[in-house]
Amino acid sequence: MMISPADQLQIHYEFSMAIGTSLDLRVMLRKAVSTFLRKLNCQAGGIHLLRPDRAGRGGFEQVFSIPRNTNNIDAYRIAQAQLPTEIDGDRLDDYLSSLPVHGQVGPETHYCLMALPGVGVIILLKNGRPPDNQFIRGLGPLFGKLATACQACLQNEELLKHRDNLTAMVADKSRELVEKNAALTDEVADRRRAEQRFRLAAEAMSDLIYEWNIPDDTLKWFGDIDGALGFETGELPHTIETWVRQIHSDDLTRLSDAIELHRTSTEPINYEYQIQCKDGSWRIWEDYGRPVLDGEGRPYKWVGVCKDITERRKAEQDRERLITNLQKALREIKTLRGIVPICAYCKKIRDDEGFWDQVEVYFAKHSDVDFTHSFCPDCVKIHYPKMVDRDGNLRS
Amino acid sequence: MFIEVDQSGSVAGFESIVTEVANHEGTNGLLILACDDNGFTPDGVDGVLRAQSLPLFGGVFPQIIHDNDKLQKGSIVAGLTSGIDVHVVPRMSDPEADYDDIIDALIPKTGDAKTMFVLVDGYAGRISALIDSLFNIFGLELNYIGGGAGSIDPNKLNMDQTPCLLTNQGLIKDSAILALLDAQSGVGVAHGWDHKLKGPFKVTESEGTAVRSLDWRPAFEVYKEVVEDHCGRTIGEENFFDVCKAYPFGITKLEAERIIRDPFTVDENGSLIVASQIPKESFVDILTSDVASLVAAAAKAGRTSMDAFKGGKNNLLLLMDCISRVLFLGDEFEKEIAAVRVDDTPLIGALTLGEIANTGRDYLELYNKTCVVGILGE
Repeated sequence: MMISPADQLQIHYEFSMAIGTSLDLRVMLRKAVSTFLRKLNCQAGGIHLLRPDRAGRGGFEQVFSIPRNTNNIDAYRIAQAQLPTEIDGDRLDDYLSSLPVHGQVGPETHYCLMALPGVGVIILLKNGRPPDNQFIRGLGPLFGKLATACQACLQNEELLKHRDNLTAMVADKSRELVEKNAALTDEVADRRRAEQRFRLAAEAMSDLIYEWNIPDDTLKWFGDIDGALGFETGELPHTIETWVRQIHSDDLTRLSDAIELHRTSTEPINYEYQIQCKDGSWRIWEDYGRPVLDGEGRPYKWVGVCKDITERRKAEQDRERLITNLQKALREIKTLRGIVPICAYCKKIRDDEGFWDQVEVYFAKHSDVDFTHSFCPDCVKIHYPKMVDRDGNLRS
Repeated sequence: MFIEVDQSGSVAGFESIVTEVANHEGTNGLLILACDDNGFTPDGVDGVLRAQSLPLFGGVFPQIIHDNDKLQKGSIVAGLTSGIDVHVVPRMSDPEADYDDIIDALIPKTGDAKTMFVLVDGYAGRISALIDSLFNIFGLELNYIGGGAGSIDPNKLNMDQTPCLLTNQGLIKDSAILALLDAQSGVGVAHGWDHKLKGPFKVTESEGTAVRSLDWRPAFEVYKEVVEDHCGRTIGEENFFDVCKAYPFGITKLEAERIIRDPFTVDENGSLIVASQIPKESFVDILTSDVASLVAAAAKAGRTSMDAFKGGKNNLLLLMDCISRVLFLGDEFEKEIAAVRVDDTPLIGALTLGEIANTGRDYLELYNKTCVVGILGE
C-alpha cells in the first residue's frame, strides 16, 4: 500500500511534534518512540546510543525500548545483533551512513535499523509487509531531530550530574562553614568575654592596657585613656598618630624611632616618656609592650601596659633631694667621741689642731651645745663669801 | 466452557448463575457480563461477589451478547477452565498515577499467561495512559482483548462514573481489571469506517477528551460544516449524537485502519467531546460509512481472529463491539453478530464504551466504534 504524500506529511508532522518534549531522556524517548511505533504500526522499537570510553571506542547501549524487555523478542535480538559490538567514535559516522539496514525474521516480521546521526541507531520491528523504503528514507531528517534531542538530553544529564555534584559540594562546604562559623562564634564570644574581663581588670587598675594594631596603626585601649589625659570620653582619637602628638618634644624623636623600629622588631617595648594632658600638664608614663607574632614570626600587633609614674618620679625626686639634704646635714653634724685632752688645772681642752680652748669654746666648736654661765656653791664660797651664810647656803 | 445466562436481571438470578458456574467441575475462574438495566449496585451484588472464592472479573455494559442475541437486561457467567490471575488497577483518573509502577507491582511476571483481558471503567480519565503502560511493559508477549464498561443513556449521553466493574472485592468504579489467562487466543480488530469525507484537520487544541479546535477554529464549527454538508441536517446539541454517530474522526496510521474517535456531544465552548482522547497535534479526518462496510469489517475481524488463533479446545467466541456501532446499525446489528459467529462456537460479548485489543502483530490501541473479536481456547 503506497503511502499518500498527504499521509506522509501528516505522519512526519506528528513525529516531529512528538520529539524533544522533555530534557529527561527516558520521558522524551517514551513520547517519541511510542508515537513512531503507533504511527508506523510497529510491534517494537528501541534506541541504541554509542557509549564511547575515554579512548573513543565503545559499543551501542540500549537506552530505551518499547516494550521494556526486548530480550524475549527473537526478531529484535536478531536485529540488535546487526549492531557492531565495538566501534571507534571516529567510524560512527561511516557506520551510520551505511544505514538503513532491513531484515526479515520468519515470514512476517521485518526489522529496520536506522541512523540517529552522531549518536546511535533506532531499531523498529514491524509485522506484515516490509516498511516502504522511500518512506523510511524520508524519515531521515526526523531521526536527525531525534538524535539532536537525545544529545540535548544527554548533555542535560551531565549538567544535572555536575549540578548534583556541585550541590553536594556546596552542601558539604556549607556544613563545614556552619561548623567553622559556630566555632568562630564561640571563639569570638570567648574572646569578647576575655576582653570584657580584661577591660574590667584594666579599669580596676590605674594602668592602661593597649593593643597597637600595626597594619592600620589603630590603638585599642583598655582603661580610660581619655580620662587619664583629661579628655572627654571619645575626644581623643585612638591612633598612633594622635598618641605621638601628645609626646614631649624631648622624647619625640626617640619614640618616633621606636615606633618604626617595633613595626618589624620583636624586641620588647620598654620606654619612659612624658605625655601631655589636655590642660597642658605633663605626665610621665612607663610603657612596656610585648609583640603578637604572625605565622612568619613578624609582629602584627603589640600588647602593652602604660603606667602613669608621674607621682613616683616626683616622689623619687623628692627623695633624692632629701637624701642630698640629709647628706649635707650629716656632714654638718658636730659629734663628740673618743678621748679629749683637758688641762688638769685650768680645764682647757686641746683640739685636733693642738690649740688649747676654753671648755666653752671647745664644746661650741664640736657640738651644738651652748653654755650659760653660773657659779657653783663651792666657787661662791671662795669667790663671794659674803653671799653665803655660815652653813654655806646662798643668801637670798 | 460452561456458560449460564440469566435474563431476569435480578440479583437472585445473578447469584444463582454465579454459584452454578462456580460449582461446575473444572471451573477455575468466572467471566461475568451484566447489563446496566439490571440496576446492580454495590449493596446489591457485593455480597455475591465477595462470597466467591474463585477469581472472577467482569463488567456492567449497556447491553450484552449471548450467541445471536443482544440482551438489554440480564447477566452472563462463563466458567473459565484455564489458569487465571486477576488484578485490579485503581485510580484510573488520577493524573499522578504511574501505571508502569502500579502494573509492575501487580504483575511482576506473566508466567504462562498468553491472553490478557482488559476491562476498564469507560469514563475513567486515563485509559490511554494505562494502555501505553501495558504495551510498554508486556509488548506483544500477550494478546489483549477488552473494553470499557459503564452506563450510557443514548438520549442523554451522561458521563457519570458509576460502579461498573465486577471483582472479588465487589462492584467498583474508576478502576481497570487485568485478567491474565493461560488460554490461547486469537484477536481480530476492524471497524469499517473507511469513507473519508474531509480532512486532514489538525487538532490544534485538545484537553482530555475535549477537542477544542481544529485548524485553530472551534472544533464544532469545523465539524458541523462538513457533516451538515453531507447529511443535509442541522446539528445542534440536542440531536448531536443522533446525527453524528455516523461521522466519527479517524486518526491516520501507516498501513493499518485509521484509529476511530467517536464524538458524542458538544460543550458550551464549541468543543467536541469524544469517547477517547485525541492528542494535540494529531491529524484527523471526518469519516462516514454504511451498514455493509461495518458488517464487512466485523466479518474481517472474525476472520482475523481465527487466523491468529493458535488452536485449542472448548473454544469461546468473544465479541466486544462498540455501543455506538450498535446505535448506528440499529436493527441491523444482528447482521454484525451473524458476520462474526460463523459456526456454533459459543459467543458471548458486550457492547462497550471503547475497545481494547491487539491482534498480536500491531501496537496496542484503545479503539472507538470498532469491532473486536476474540477466540479463546479453553
